[in-house]
Amino acid sequence: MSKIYNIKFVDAYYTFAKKVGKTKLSFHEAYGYIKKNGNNIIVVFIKKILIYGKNEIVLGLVIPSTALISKKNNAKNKLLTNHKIGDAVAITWRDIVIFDSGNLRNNCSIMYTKGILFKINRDHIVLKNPETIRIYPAPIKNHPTKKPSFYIIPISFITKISTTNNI
Amino acid sequence: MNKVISKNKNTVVRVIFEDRFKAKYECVGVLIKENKDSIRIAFNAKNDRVVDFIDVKQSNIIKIDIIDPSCINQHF
Repeated sequence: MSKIYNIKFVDAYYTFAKKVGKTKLSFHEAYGYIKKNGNNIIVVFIKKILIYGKNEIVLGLVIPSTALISKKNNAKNKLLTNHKIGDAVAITWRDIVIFDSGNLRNNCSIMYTKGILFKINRDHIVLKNPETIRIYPAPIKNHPTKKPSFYIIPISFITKISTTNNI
Repeated sequence: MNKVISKNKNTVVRVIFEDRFKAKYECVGVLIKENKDSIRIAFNAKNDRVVDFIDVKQSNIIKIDIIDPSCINQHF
């Protein structure tokens, strides 16, 4: 974990705006040391130097490997083939998380969002009136605590989508 | 310490520093601010706006290296 990386990736975001016009994914760039854990990429920003050449992570970020700019368009668009604008949907997706030494993480958070499918773009969807729950890790909690108007989610983050009538 | 920041391009640095208990830390990022008392290292930016950073007192810096861009691995 001594090589320095420049990593470019996309992220989901929400807005409390009453209307959304043209949407695009937020673009992130980070520098750090990288560790891989399955389909998670851990970007280490600060590490504590211990004796005997060991170290421990103090601050870092976990991103799904599908968040990388090069992967964002390789999404499983088949997931969306049975869904159309206006459908009430429930989506399970993997979210980026920042962590520190008090709450070490080596995998992404898993989120569950219900909302109305408002837009389907090449690399993201927009959900209207979304309600999102972080279902992993415990404790389960709303994210954000106040309901936003729209949630913009990269298609490459989505692991499951289903129609629901319970919104 | 000589100024290492450049106004023309990102200056990526590796900094070894200590806290008040003399524990040592290492971080890497873009040097975005530098004055006689402290430096600011940015780790992560969203749409070109810095999101996560650390301020390190000059007096706590043990070592600072400018990273040659050719030594930075691109991962995107």
